[in-house]
Amino acid sequence: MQSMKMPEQNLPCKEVVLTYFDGNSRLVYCSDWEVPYPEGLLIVSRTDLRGVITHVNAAFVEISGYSRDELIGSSHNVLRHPDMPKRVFAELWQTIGAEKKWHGFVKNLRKDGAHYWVYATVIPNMRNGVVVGYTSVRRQPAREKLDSVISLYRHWIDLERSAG
Amino acid sequence: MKLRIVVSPDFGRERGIDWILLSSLMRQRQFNAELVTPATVEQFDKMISEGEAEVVFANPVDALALVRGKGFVPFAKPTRIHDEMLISCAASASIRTIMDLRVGSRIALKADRCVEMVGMRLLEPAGSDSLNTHFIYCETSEGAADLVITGSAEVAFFATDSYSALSLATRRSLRPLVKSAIGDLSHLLLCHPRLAGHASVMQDAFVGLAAVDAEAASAMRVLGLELGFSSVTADAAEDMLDLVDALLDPSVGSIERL
Repeated sequence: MQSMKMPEQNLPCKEVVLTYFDGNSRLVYCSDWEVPYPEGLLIVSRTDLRGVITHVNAAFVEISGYSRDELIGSSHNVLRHPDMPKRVFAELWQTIGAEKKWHGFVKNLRKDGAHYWVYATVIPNMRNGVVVGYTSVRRQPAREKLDSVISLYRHWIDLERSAG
Repeated sequence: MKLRIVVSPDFGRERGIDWILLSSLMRQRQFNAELVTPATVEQFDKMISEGEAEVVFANPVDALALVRGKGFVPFAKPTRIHDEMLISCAASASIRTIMDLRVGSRIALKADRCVEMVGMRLLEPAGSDSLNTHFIYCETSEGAADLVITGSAEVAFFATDSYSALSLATRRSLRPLVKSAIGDLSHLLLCHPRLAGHASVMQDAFVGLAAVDAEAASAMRVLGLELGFSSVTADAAEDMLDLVDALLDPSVGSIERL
């Protein structure tokens, strides 16, 4: 199990063990602090087929709290927040696996345990008819839509937890 | 080699004389170059569709359509210049942030598909989309600014370099609300697929331009391309085009237009 470094900020954090679909798990620390999405920033990243980050722009570095060196070579799920239902990512992988564009709202975990919401688009990178990786763009979500998404995700998380 | 170089109207029209300098430089390098700066997006599209362009200097959105839809070959890009845009209201407007914009706002802009695409992504948090927004296309960036200043539009979209080129008096009458910070988009130089075999020759010619002599460096500087052009690989160009594809509104076809 990988372990995330304890955040340096002084907000109360809880420890959560995240288990991914491939069976790997990771201990993360998260607080209730939401970092407002900075206006104008568009977060860009690329990953390889396994979800390992190969490119980030400056906006990604700024809002995630990680350095560029920490991000490149890490799995994109370093941003995974425990409040995200597994079914959202299952749908993401199913969609891009079918070589289609995916859109959705995602709560991302910062290095310091805080979080930020994004509206994300992920597309498969096709080269000569073969998928070689994925590109993701995240931007500020519409707050009015986000409120209903938060309720829906809580419901899905409850269902997942009750199902064990 | 005869080259008709078509410059995207978002970049070229307001710098027509400066582009003539580049044309002269290319002729000195044994290229029979003819620079064309179409005034409108429609003229630009028509020249491309009729096969009149050997080389195109295209914004990222047009480059997506040309490379993936028509087989154009990317070979260079401006060195360390990124395409960014800003959204501005009138200095006297009551709007403080883009979140204050009501759905159905009027947006003035000089036609530029990349600026429009990025601007709409930045307005999404305010609930605006291409279906509930009224675009007013202007011939120039000054024209777009005038519409905002006179209250005929709530905001205007500008490429950042176009905004910087506005007169001081105009800029004082505007108040930028938000500026994009992507850092991964830039114009591309593309050659027609019938010249794909000569792409490396053209790459060498364009990439070396800024370093030829003081005259060449000066010509590139006045074009806003102070560091000239850098070569771009097919993979690097495709990476950028993937980003454009991800930024495009899903309701807008990406490569069927041209």
